[in-house]
Amino acid sequence: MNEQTTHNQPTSAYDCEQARLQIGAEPRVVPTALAEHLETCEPCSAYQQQTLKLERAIEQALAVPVAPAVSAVVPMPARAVRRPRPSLTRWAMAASLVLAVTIGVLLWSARPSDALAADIVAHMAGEAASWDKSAAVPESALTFVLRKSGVDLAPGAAVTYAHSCWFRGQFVPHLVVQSASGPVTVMILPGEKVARQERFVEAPYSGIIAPVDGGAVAVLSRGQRGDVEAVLDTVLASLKTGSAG
Amino acid sequence: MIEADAGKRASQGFNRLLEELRPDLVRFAFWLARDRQVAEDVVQETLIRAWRAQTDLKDTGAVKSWLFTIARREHARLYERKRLPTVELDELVTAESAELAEQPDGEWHDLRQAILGLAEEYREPLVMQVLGGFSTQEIADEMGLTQQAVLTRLFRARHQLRDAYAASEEATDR
Repeated sequence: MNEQTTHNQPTSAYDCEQARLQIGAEPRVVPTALAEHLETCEPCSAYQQQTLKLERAIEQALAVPVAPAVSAVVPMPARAVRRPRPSLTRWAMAASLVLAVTIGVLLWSARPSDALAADIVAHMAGEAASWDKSAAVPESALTFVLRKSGVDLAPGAAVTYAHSCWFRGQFVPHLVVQSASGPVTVMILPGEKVARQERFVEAPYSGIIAPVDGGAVAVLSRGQRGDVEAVLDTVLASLKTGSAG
Repeated sequence: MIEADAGKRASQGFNRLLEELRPDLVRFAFWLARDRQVAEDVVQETLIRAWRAQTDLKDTGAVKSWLFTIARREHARLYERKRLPTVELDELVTAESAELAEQPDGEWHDLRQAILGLAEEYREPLVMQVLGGFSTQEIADEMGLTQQAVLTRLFRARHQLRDAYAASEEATDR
């Protein structure tokens, strides 16, 4: 990318206008016809030098500093949470249990919360630092995060992390609340449908996904620390009706 | 067991590749979104999608453009699915410029401000070309434009940046 490249394909001769369009559009690409034009046109040659100087500056300007990733680039659970499905051979061997298996599959597919839990756990791994925050989040920041997702939460819990996370194609509030026995993560998930309150365990996380009006709430702890039930109760009591929709 | 080991090694190799490319991906997403937080979200989603779809990548030499393409689509999806709050350009440029000016390489402040101020139709192909290494034909294919239209947009983008750069150089010389 840093060197000019000359294309040898035959092209028609360039006039100054074509030459400058080509230089301005692809400063580092010099088709043969342009090279020939530059040999005989001093103003265009100077224009090319100026543009290459500008190009180096653009490359430098675009290289904004990037903070290092706070955790593994691809969270491990994202690789691990998908459980392998039983093979076809195994299904065939269990022919006598076809009916039971069918019912089982139907029950499984009726529980989208399994996949939801897996996605939540995968998301957690990318936000490992969130658990370690101890200072309370300013109310304005919490309000911003909640409003970004159209969620309204009455004040009450000690929130030490509030981030508007992109999750399953939308921004959702990702909060960490301090319970008596440790931090608990709360994700408010507008539009996610779960039939009933369900527990999940995806080591090292465990938690509960609960339906609310207009969506769902996931509350989870890490390593059995944190009072998930108490925080869930607080959140359910604090969520204003229909606010997760 | 051997297959599992080979798979693990391949996965580790792929992960290393993603780690190496992450900074460029964040920069690309930043210049598309003009917001660091949105950029981080786009990249996070991009990397997870890339990981899950890694078997689709036939040529590891093309991984960068493959990732950038995913990121670009993720960014577009973000705006399609969720109408993000509209921010006045001046406000955005001021906020980002203040942050960029605090960086040790603040000498590029004026040019960065000018890039932030470019219309999306100019900024996007420019960033795809310079950061992503896309050819004009690849940009045209990805954006659903003719190659000539892409050439024109790139020319206009640089034309607009030329003035900002000249002013910046003058200020530096003084």
